[in-house]
Order: sequence, then structure tokens, then C-alpha cells
Amino acid sequence: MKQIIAIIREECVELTRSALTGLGISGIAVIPVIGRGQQKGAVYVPDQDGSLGRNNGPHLRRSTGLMSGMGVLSYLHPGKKKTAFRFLPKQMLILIVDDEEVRTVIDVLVAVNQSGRHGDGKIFVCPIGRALGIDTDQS
Amino acid sequence: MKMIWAVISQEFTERVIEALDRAGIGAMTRLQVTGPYQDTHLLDHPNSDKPREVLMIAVPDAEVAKTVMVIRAHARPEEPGRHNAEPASAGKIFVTYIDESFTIRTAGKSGAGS
Repeated sequence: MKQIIAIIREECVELTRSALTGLGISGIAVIPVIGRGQQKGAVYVPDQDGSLGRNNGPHLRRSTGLMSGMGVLSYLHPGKKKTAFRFLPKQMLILIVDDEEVRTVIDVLVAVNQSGRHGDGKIFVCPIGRALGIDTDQS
Repeated sequence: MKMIWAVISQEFTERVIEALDRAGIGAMTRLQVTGPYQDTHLLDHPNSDKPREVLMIAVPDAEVAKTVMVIRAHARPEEPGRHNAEPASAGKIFVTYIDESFTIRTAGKSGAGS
């Protein structure tokens, strides 16, 4: 049994959940997080129309508002030509799967979330020592 | 590879992140949590929870000790006396195993960085 931690874009959550449900996996914890990769966050240059120049601009702006309690807004630098996001809003999915399902789940997570751009996310496969149901007391 | 889960006080988050940056550890994930105060007898409302942040940092085995050291050094008050007065309030660090990690963009196995 393994724990899979996937950190993905916000807009991919529903599609990912549907794909995993299709595999028979419905027990998923979804947690809002902020994060950054090796590039330490993206830099967005406003277009002439004022929208954020890089991919998903409008969505990011909306997300930033939603995530204001997570410290994202404190990383904005208004008035400068470039707007720096040191941390970007993401969603963290945590699921527990049998060993033989790990490869299939990873393939599905990659297929659904891969856009080829930086920020697609990461998947971590971690060992589980023991899992207990709280209500059933079943291992 | 290991995953470091550092549960720290929000007031020290910026300082820890800047120190990790300087140490060359830039990739991380953050989430907000709450936890009970340790010194509840000092509080007006003993059942209140303290807001904290969890930093999740995936690092190669060789960098675990350095990362933990940086976090420990910067996630607690600088004044010597204050730390002793509140020994358990600075937070906790957990190190867990990662069997494999993948970068979704390249669909390949990856090194550190979340």
C-alpha cells in the first residue's frame, strides 16, 4: 500500500478526480496549498490589455483572490512592470492505493495534468506503514 | 529522497523560506494548519488554536541534514531567553520516506523539488 501525493494545478482538480473515480478510486483528500518549483515561482508580464501575459492569467488572478489568506497577495509587487508570484496556488491530492495500482494511477495523473509547461506539478509515492479506518477499526 | 514536513509558527515562515533560498533549497509547498498552544496555562482562552504553516520540502538524502538545520535555526525566536520560556512552541519537523517522485511536465522521474 502506498500514499500518493500529487500537487497539481487548481483547474485540473475536477478532471483528475473524475479520472480517478473512473479507476475506482474515490477516497481522495484535496487540500489547497501554495507552492513553487525549482524556478522559484513564475514572473508574469502584463499584456497590453492588462491581462497577465503568461498562460492561465485570468485564472491565476481569480485564484490569487481566493488564496489571499495563504500569503500569495503579499508576494505581489504592484506598480512594477513585472508581477512576481513567489508562490502559486495549487491543489494537493492525497490518495492511498494498493501497490499494484500505483503505476496506473501515476499514468492517469500525468495524462490528465500534463500541459508541458512549468508548474504542471509533482507526484510523490510514499510508503505507508499501516492504515486504520477510524469508524471500522479495520486495518 | 525524503520529504521534510516542517510545522512552524507563521511569524517565522518568511525567515525560514529566505534562509532556505540562501541554502539553495527553493522548491517547496506550503499549507496552513492550526494546532494547540503548548503553554495553555498562559492563555486567556486555553482551547484556542495557534495558526501555523507546514512547509513540505522534498530533498535528496544528502541534503536532509542541511535542510533540517536551516529550518531549526530560523524557525524559533532569536532572543535566547524566549525560546527556553516556550520550548515547545517553535514547531516540529518530520522526515518521511519518498519511494519515487515524478515531474508531471516531463512525465519522468525527478530529483528534489515540489
